[in-house]
Amino acid sequence: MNQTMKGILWIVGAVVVVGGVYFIISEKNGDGGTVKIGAVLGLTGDGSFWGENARNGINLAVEDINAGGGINGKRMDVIFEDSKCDPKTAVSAVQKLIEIDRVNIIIGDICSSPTLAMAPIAESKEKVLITPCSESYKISEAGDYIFRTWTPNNRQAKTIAKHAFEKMGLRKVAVLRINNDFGNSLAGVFNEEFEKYGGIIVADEKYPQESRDLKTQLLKIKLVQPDGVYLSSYQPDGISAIKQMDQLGMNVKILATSGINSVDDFFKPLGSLADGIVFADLKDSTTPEFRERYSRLYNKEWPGMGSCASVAYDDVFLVAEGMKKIGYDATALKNFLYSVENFSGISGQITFDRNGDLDREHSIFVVKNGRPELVE
Amino acid sequence: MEYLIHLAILFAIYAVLGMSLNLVVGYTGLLSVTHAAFYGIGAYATAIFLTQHNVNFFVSVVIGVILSGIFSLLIGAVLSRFRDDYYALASFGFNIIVFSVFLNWQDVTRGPLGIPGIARPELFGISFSSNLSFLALSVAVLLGAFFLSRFLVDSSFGRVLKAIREDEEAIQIFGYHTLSYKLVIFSVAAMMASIAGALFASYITFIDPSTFTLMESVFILAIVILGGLSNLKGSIMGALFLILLPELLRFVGFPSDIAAQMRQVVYGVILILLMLYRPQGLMGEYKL
Repeated sequence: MNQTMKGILWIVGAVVVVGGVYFIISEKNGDGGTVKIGAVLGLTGDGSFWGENARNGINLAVEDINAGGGINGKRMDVIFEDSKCDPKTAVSAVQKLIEIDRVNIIIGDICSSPTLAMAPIAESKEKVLITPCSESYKISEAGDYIFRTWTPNNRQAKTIAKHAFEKMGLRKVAVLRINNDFGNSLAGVFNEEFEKYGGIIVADEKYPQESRDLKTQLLKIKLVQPDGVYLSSYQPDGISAIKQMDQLGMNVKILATSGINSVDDFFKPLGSLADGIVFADLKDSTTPEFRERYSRLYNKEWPGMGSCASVAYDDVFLVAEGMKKIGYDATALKNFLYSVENFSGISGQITFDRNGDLDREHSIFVVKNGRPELVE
Repeated sequence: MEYLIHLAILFAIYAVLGMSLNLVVGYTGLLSVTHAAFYGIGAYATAIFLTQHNVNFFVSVVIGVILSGIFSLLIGAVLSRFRDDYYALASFGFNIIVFSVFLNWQDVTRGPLGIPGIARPELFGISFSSNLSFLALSVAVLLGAFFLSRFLVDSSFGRVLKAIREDEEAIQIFGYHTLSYKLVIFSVAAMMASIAGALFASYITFIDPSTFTLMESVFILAIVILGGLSNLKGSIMGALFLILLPELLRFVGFPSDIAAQMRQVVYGVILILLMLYRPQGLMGEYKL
């Protein structure tokens, strides 16, 4: 008993001391020389590709804002917390940001499930939560204080279904989808839309997220001889799927999602197999200067719109703009965000609808010589 | 303050999980790696009955406990055919099966989309919607679980469990039907885990299958081993340690570019050091 009590006292003592010191030295927003905002991103684990790029985008924006005089003379500062794309960890992180760091604005997450877990907290504490690019349509209804600089995921599936039927003339399409939120919601909308135009979904196969051997599913698809395959996948599994389709001698049109739009991580590893892949994505409006700066700073090719870096950059600028005009109050900032009209960000024009979502048109791209080219 | 309350709630939930698993792993010596399955069954039962059928939280908890009890009897009956390492392997097979059911039975669990908007508990007009009242509820559950577990392990029933751990054949010779002892303790632990799951679902208000993976079972097992096998207070300490350590590391001033990765490395190193220098755990009485 003695030992237990001692141990517990030590741990509790450590928490109180560390937390207390931190609490005292952390100043209230806007009081001192800095303005703080928080960011909760999946910096490690499954979603780290997006988390890291979003963090880079945020860092770039903060650099630019501070170089341009900060927020009415005060420096802007971002506190990053890792969510590991896990709802429970994200909730811990957002509580810490709100309670200890006393931020009024939180940017994050990219994965949908942490965003959905954080939304009720942000809503009840009346803090603004802006997700750069979580896709779940559930986020539209998550609350007044929840924004996203992205469109809900049903849009791109509608666009590509229309293109496949009307422009490519496909009639029999098979669907191969990753069995998670992302894959299922896209494939669901695709099926519905494609059949509405009069097409037939001849097969609909699922695979688990970690799965890399998709031959069973592909053989079933091969049997029904589709004109095209809609591949609702992420990157590593998408690469396996396309390579295995080639090994099985399947010569079909490949339709894909915005999730694969990356030269370094998807088109290059596939080589010539990538040519001819058709997918829908938001048009990348970043300037060549921005892309070049990004690749120089982070030592990799600009990872594209889908990496969330450019929208994360815009999120910070939007918030800074609001803070310059109306101060740090979260409710005032929320109202400011709803009133924003055609804000020119580097990712394009930004106007939120009444759900706090962006309404942007998707464009169709086709891969040629290992690079995506705009079709329409 | 809310942040500390939040951590305290998570701690209480994991302490219940750790303690209940300790009954199986520490006291009875069955290396079960399937606890997250029962945790998940409790969470899903509560979430589904609460959101889709408007059943009261406490009634859904009871349904969850019953479901978990039934499944644990079935799973336990199969598992009791295995021993030692094989037991561990077979048990994690069950975790994977249950996880796949959460993921693929989409009409009921909504699969990977998860279930959002789970309400906080309410009883006779008292609502546990504030975090402080929810903490009170969680601590009450923790105390309940603690006293129940202590009662079990201090009773003659508990002595048979420890005897099974030390030498199952010997205790069989004395005429004890060890299978039923193992089944009972496995079910009791599973039912406790399902209550923890119910608390988790209604606290976070959103669940998806990713919370109930094999890794979660391993995490709970880590609480048990780190805290100390065959010591209930040890599991409470283990939960406190494993929940607070990553949060404390948030306050260590790593450079922001590598902070997230560094925290995980440090977390891992601390665990390894702890196991090197205290292989019996913080306050364990028995080594695996």
